Amino acid sequence: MTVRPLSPHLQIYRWQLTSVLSILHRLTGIALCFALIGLTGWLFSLSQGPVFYKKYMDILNSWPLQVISGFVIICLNFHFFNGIRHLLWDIGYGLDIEKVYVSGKAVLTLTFLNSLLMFWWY
Amino acid sequence: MENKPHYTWQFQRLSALFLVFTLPIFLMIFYSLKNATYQQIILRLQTPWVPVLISLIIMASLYHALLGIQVISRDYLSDLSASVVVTAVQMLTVGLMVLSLFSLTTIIMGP
Repeated sequence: MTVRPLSPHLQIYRWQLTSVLSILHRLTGIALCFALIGLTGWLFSLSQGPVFYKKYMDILNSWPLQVISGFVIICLNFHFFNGIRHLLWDIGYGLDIEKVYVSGKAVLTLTFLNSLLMFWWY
Repeated sequence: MENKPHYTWQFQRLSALFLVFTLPIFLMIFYSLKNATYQQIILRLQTPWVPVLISLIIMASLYHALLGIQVISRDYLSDLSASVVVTAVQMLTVGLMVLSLFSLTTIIMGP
């Protein structure tokens, strides 16, 4: 077993938009892992018939889970738009520092607007 | 941890690229069901291309999530802790994949 160097601990970083968005990308990814468990549960409840499905939906419609669902929508939007930003970086687009800040602000704006749209639509 | 290429980075990007195009379609299907009854949801999910798309999206999402957790674990945890976390998440991922496919198959066959 090799001893690998670990990433520096988060507290040594000076807070700036670039690092905050990078940390948020990972945190929202972790949050979405839990949402995937909920989605699988939704499919399973559907497969178990209307009574089981109603019980599952009653739990999902409780106010704590409605708040969590709202949070998941924000996480999904952020992770989606910031993921596109990462994919663009991977093909070499927008890597200079000015564009990194512009794209970061664009991600936050799109997250805000699309989350509002999804809340309104739902 | 084995010192060999894992191709994690490439597969993480490929699954992300797939999800960028398919996730909006999935969200539109999901949102179109918001006021639907149980029977209407089942009928919609029995449309042939819908369960295929949903299963592909869930598989890609779970795989993308697994690779993400692997990267985060290896960045911040020691070898032993990372191995434990990655193994646990791998088992959970396989379990969720099986459960999703089982659920979708049951829905297609008629619950």
